[in-house]
Amino acid sequence: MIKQKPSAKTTLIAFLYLSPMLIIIGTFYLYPIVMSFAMSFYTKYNFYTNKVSEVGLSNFVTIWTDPDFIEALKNTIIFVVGVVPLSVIIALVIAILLNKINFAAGFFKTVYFLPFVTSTVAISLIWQWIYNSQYGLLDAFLGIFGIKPIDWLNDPHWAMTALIIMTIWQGLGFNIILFLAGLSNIDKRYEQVAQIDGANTWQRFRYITIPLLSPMTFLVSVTSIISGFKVFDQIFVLFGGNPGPGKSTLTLVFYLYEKFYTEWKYGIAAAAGVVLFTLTLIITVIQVWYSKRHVHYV
Amino acid sequence: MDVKFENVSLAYEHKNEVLHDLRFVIPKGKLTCLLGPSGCGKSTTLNLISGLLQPTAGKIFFGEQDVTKKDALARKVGMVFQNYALYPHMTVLENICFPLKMKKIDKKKRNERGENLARLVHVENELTKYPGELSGGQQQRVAIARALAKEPSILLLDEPLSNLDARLRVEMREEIRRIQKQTGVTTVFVTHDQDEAMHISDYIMVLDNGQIQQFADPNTIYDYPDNLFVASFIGNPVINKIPFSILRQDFSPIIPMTINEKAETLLIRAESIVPIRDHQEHLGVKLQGKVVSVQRYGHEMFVRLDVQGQELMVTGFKERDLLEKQQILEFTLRTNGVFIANSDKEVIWNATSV
Repeated sequence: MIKQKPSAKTTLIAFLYLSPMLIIIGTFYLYPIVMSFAMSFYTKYNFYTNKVSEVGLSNFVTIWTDPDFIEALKNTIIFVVGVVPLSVIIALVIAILLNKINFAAGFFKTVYFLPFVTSTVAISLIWQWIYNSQYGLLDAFLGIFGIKPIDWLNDPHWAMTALIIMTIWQGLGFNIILFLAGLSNIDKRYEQVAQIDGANTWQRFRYITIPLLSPMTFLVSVTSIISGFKVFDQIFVLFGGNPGPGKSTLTLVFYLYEKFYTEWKYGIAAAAGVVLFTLTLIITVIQVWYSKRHVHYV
Repeated sequence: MDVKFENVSLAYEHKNEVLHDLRFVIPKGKLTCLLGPSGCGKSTTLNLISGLLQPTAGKIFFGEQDVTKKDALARKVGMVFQNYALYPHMTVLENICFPLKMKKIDKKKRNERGENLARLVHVENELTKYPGELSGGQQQRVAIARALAKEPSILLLDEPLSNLDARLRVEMREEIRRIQKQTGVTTVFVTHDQDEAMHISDYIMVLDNGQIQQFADPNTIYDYPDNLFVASFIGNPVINKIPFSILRQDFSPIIPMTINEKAETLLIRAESIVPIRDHQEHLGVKLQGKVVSVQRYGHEMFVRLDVQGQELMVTGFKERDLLEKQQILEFTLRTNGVFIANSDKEVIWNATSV
């Protein structure tokens, strides 16, 4: 490459090359982000005339005193805590098993990946039937063990569990594929050396596979947590457009959606969005900090 | 512990035998090299010793114990791989101590052992570093220390020096030699580099086509090769090979009739072609050739000599011999490094016997 000193002209050319992407990102990501931040401070606002008559912090005060918002926050955290660890562990176990078998591994990979490429609406509709308290497969299965039928979708105590189970199942395929990629990146020699060094199967898993897989585990956890905070469409379809029985699956995004589209309280919706953004940011920062100490990029 | 192979063969499925009926004893406390070109079966032999591979036939003994059916762990071998295979997520000390940790030796004790080993291989100042921060030579040292940590019955090194640059390679082979002598552990070293094998080993096993060509100490291998393959594989520059018929007349007076009849190839080491004035230990032959080229590299001088249409590489002449191109040169042969092979490629006559 010829090394050129950047001048006004070359910089302009560079921007021209970048402009298609910059325009799209600017229009559909940056502008809305900035605007929704601004909107969260609009306390008197006419959406149709785009006229702001008052700004202040009262939107934030409102949501913090809204029991629905607190409920949504609590539900979101329960959802993330319920989904992410289980999803990561199950995906890891299945990936390791798939990595060990040669027979029909491709077939199983496809099967596990199918839910990920299927529309959430279709999946949720199927699960509605699985969860059905009278004809549902799940209750029929549990009945074998003498467990009484549970009304998964209408009992406020079980709705969240139902949602968590479905979400784990849906995301499994993608996480498995990621883990499989991570596993195939680990040099087989380390296993061999560890075996000679006297490590049994469990020790090889614990001291070799897990640490060497940590970048992938980290990636899977981060993406799962972030998508967990954004959960919406599964709830919407599974509970027929409602936030679950007795608002038992009301999450942050669902709250935001209700405020925006059904109650037209744009400022409050934006404020909820800012809280969601801040939460995601804090968690990402914690993860980056954690990864510096415990993730081994090789 | 010595290693004994009894009629060991190995065949992979649907393929020809890789190793044929190997029998040998690797002596206890010595450094033995498995030497041969790539594909000769030396790494396979090493894997059979380690237990990573199981033979199709035959038995393997460590000392008196039959270990044929035992795996690498039960055989207690220590192994160093070509690319070291250090655990990238562990520090140097953790790497060295890993086998001890697997044995559940308590932390204080194993760190102490680890530090001692680090001192033995001279990496005591790198203990908290990760393998990625070390040079190739240092990684090699750590890999050796890790292999030694569990006090192996046998230390196996699979082409350990081939990833190092030339100078480091010479340094590390001295180091391996020192460490081996200091610990007295029976060591098997795989290499395709004859020079490395000559410098480092107590014994060399030359392998080709899955068969042992010769098993002896380095100087015996050099001075008394059993066959054409060993003679030409060992030594640099490569031994001169010419049809015996060309010099039959000159050799007839000094070799027995029986040998003369079967002689097919004449083998002469480059340094064994010397000026006539060097009076001691000559064969009683006086030969002539024409100087084709003279090249000097530092203290070495390489002369190409045309002898009745056959080109010979000669290193027995010195600068003071003032050779010139096209010059007709009279020379003789030393009693070391001249062999005759028969049509089966076996060495049937060695000039030292004169």
